[in-house]
Amino acid sequence: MQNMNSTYFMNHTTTASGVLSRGDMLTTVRAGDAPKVAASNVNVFYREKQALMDVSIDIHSRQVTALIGPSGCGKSTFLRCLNRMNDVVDGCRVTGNILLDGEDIYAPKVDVVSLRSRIGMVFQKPNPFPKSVFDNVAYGPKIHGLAEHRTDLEEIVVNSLTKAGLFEEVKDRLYDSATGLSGGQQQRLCIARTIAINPEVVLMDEPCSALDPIATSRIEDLMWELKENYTIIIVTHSMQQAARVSQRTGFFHLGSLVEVGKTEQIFQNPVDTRTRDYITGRFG
Amino acid sequence: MGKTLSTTEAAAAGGARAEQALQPERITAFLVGMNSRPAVLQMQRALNEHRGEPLTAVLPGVTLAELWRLVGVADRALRAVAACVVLAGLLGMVATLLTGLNERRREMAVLRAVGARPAHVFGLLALAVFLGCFGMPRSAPLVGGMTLALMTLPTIIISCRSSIRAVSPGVRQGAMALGASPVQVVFHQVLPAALPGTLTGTIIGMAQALGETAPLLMIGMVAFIASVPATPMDSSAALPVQIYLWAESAERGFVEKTAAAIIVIMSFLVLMNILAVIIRSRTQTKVE
Repeated sequence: MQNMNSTYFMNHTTTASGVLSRGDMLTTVRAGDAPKVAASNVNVFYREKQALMDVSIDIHSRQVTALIGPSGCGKSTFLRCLNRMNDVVDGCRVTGNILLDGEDIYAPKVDVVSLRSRIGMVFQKPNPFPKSVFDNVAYGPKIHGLAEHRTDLEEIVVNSLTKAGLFEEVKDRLYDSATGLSGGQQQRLCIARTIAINPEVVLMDEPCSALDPIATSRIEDLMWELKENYTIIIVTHSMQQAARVSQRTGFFHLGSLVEVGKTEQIFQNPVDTRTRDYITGRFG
Repeated sequence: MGKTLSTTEAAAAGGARAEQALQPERITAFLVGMNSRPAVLQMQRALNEHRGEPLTAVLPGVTLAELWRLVGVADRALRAVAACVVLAGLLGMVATLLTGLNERRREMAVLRAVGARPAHVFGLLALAVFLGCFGMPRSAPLVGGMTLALMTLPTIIISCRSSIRAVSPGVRQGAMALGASPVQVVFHQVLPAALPGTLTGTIIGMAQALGETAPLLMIGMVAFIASVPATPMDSSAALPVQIYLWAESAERGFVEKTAAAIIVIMSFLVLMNILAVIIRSRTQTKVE
């Protein structure tokens, strides 16, 4: 096991550089685009305690933005602001502006249900519904009325599972319970479930922290494919992961966004000393 | 349309006499009979499309059906009112019950302190509320059922609540993140996942109620009843009580009678449990 782990990491240090150059190219190509999600001066309070301070960040379309930082620095809180999952947290208050395609998602007329169908979310712990694999993926399209007939629904399910790289593994047990899948398969099922309703943005809250390295690498490969069609924002504790999958990286510390920029620049030439200290492992 | 019908009726009733004695000034409607049935529709069409005279032909059957449909709407509205009355009645009953509980809190505490089982307390409560406040008849199965329901309620509520709480918050969040409304989250994910646990609680409660006699004794379901009860309001004896009464009788045939009653109650119990196990295993295979 020890042996396997070390080879795995070696492999990934070699791919990481390749990832960076590809990502760099993409950022330059799309630099002129209007941001998909634009947050400005976002403050979040849990009752009296302020969890986020004046966070402003632009997130560009069709690339992976990674949010890194030590535990409790507010990166997950920020992520949950983007699809208004914080609404249901007792005593949570959000101020500031978050625009999706130029529209304020906290405006009173915004329908949270349709917002969440545009911004999907994958959680830290795989959370399949205690139903069959098919029903897990079909649930979203069903409640949003995306499929008129059974055949449409089947098509959506198969497509989503294929996109999530899971179809080959589960094609013989589509109607078996999803809780019988392995952790990595469950997480990919959750990704399939999320993309089944065709969101524009996919939020991932430490999607690999409960998975082994092999399952992690599969999810990372998947992110590479998905970013062709979706805007992905990932919160991660692993700096290697941020370096491997993202084109832009934001560093959070104590509730504020310290620095944001191209992944390459953040990791090789950070401006702020706190970022430098965190990345070189001096704290956190 | 109503006018059309009534005049038609008048014309039909008037019949031959109208022809002879009464010369009507004008005719607003008349019935036409056809020899062949298919011709009815053709005739109606021809009349409606006839441009020479402003005539309208309707088929009485169709028109009547339309009328009934209209009445049906009112009927449905009345049904809603009926449901409302039933619901309000039930709520009122529960409210009275709760007030009764609150007033007697000390009394019940004393009873519990001197060793009364919860079943005894529920029996007394039923005696006070159903018989005392509402004046329902003694030994009625309806009252007995309500008393037992009251008694099993805590078991069922507690098991339902804990099985609903046991549904992982991840499932809730997952459904919410997919854009399910709170109601959809509850009905599509939480309740189905909590169903096996809920069923178990209900079954345990039912089994408990089946063998319970103490609260039934309080409301008088202990009397010797000779005739078979015809309605839920007639007096009757609960099966465990009946078995107890029969077991005491020394006359011939009562040994067999007692045995038969015991077999009935036992087989019912077994049947209920088998049913419960089947339902439970089914929902579980579906869920897991």
